[in-house]
Amino acid sequence: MSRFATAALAALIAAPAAQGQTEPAQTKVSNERLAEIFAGDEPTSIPEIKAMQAHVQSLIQRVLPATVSLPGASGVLVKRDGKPFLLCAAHVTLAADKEIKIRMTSGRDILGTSLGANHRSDVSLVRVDEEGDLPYAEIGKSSDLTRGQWVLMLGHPSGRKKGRTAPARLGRVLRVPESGYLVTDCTMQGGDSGGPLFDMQGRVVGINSRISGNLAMNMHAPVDALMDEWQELLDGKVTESRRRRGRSRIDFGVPLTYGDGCPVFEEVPEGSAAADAGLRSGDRLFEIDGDEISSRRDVMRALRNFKSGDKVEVVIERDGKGLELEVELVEEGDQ
Amino acid sequence: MIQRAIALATLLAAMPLALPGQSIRNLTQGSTVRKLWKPIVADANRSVVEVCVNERAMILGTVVGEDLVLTKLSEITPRDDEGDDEPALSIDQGERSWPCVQISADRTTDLALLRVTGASLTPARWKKGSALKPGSFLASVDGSDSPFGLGILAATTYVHTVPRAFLGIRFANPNGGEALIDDAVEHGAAKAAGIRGGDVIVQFDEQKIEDTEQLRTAIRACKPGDKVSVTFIRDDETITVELNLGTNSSPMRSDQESVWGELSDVRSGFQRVLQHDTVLKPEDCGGPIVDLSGEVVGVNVARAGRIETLALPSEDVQALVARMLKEEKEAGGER
Repeated sequence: MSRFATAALAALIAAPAAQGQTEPAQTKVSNERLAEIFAGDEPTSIPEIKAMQAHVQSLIQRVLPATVSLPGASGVLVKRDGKPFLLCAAHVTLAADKEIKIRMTSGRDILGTSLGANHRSDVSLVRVDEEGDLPYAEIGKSSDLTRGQWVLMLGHPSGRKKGRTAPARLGRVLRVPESGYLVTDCTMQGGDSGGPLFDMQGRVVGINSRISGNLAMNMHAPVDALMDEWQELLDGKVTESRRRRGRSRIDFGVPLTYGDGCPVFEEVPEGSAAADAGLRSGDRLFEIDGDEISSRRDVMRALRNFKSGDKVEVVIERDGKGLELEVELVEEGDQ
Repeated sequence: MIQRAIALATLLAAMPLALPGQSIRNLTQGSTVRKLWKPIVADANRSVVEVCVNERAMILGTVVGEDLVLTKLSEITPRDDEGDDEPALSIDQGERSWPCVQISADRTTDLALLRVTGASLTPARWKKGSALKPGSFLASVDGSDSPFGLGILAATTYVHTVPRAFLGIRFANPNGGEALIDDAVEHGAAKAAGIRGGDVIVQFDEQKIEDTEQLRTAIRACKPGDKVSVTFIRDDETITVELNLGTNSSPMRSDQESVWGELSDVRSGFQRVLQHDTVLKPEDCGGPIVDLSGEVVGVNVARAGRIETLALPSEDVQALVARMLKEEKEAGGER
């Protein structure tokens, strides 16, 4: 994973930050410093917060026109090879060749046709059947993201509402997995699905996908998953999610014993994926991604939105001490 | 359960690193950022009180006059099961406490105006002039040193409409006649309560139902989440069930209701609202929110969804208070 080139970021941020505000307080903060903050630092003075605010305000105005609403969901307009497309989530468009009704921020309605969808990564592509100039967002690279970096998310929580522009949420990247989902603390809700996650230069880096019970667990499909498969999606390929065999479920690949209180990993065999992740026999499971665990149902609930290969953060207790581990999930029976 | 809570507390204290959700939290929670806000929120902190019912702190209140406090009506109104005794209202600020009485209530905004006896409070300094831009940084205050919640203005001010209550049924005779159920819709309130096709609804709460239109009118008078009793006839048997009315939203939405956690009981029917992304608990409503100028831009009125925290804009708060005082005067209220 490449680390952010701060200087390059500064150059890109410079334009909107400078044009957005004219108050003297903002001019004290250099664009390099602003870029440093957005790359994962915290502001340390009021002028710095004000500079952040000015940038966020102008960024929202810049990315709002390309953020669109679909019935009960969201999406973002982009341009590729001179043609307009809509990036969306697979669980929104579902299949290819469907008519997609798109309402732009301006209130104008346009039509699109769904192309391919990948239900594993939860990304999909829609062809926009509309002539003329449309607003569009730049596409970024999710592999360039780093933990702690600031991001902006837009979408239509609970569906579009009259007179309300797509609500923006500011947050930070909590997890950048090698594969699977991007996690931020930009709080999402039903209706945000398919909407864009932007970096602070206004480039799409993720597509809103799922949430867990924990407010800090907001999952976005990395935009690279979509771009890497552009041609297949353009050709209308639909990739199904991994089929579930019977009642098979997602778990840690090692047995959990339930009793009073927290479940216990009774046996974690050496060499197992769970052991590689740091789990040991006798570890007690306290939390999965911030959700407290005390029963089988808690575990099922905490894991129900995950797929095989996804990683979750767990808090376990060992010898009276708490440990935080990242464990990859497997489909029951995979091991 | 208590044991577990203690165990967890110990565990967390022993942990060298903060939990994932806490190590990097959005703008809202960073301690550095909070510190920066301290001088900004100092003024507003003098205009916030805790409203107590029978000496129990229930909710925050915003000082809108030397002896006037605005707070969330539903949080200080005794529930049906709490008896008919008039509750004793008081407000706390720091170490001091004053008795107060409710002089006006507005159900649309779910706000109540209280008159405080013997206090000389500092009214909120309202933001004047231009509308806030989405992306504006906001702080919610509760009288403590630093703000307890930070977020950004998510969208332009808009009119928040009332979601309708739904029973989740399809009538066999939609144009009139007995309320014979054709089908109970998937994930609907009726289906969850065991109502199914072929049942004939004959009573809704206190009201006898002889016609589909009567039932429609009765449901329309309710709000989503209202608890009602429904009596129906199935195979000559009369069955009464109790259920909570739902909304017409998708199954995904209702599924999410369960993960939203604590929401304000009364969270709909507002008029113009500011939506921000601050995560608040229901009892954190009623207090003022300020922007980076330190002026009060609104009063938090509800947590309407996982991410939808709604505030009444300051100009609307002032208009409402003026109206409430005028009505009180006209009614000849002398307190």
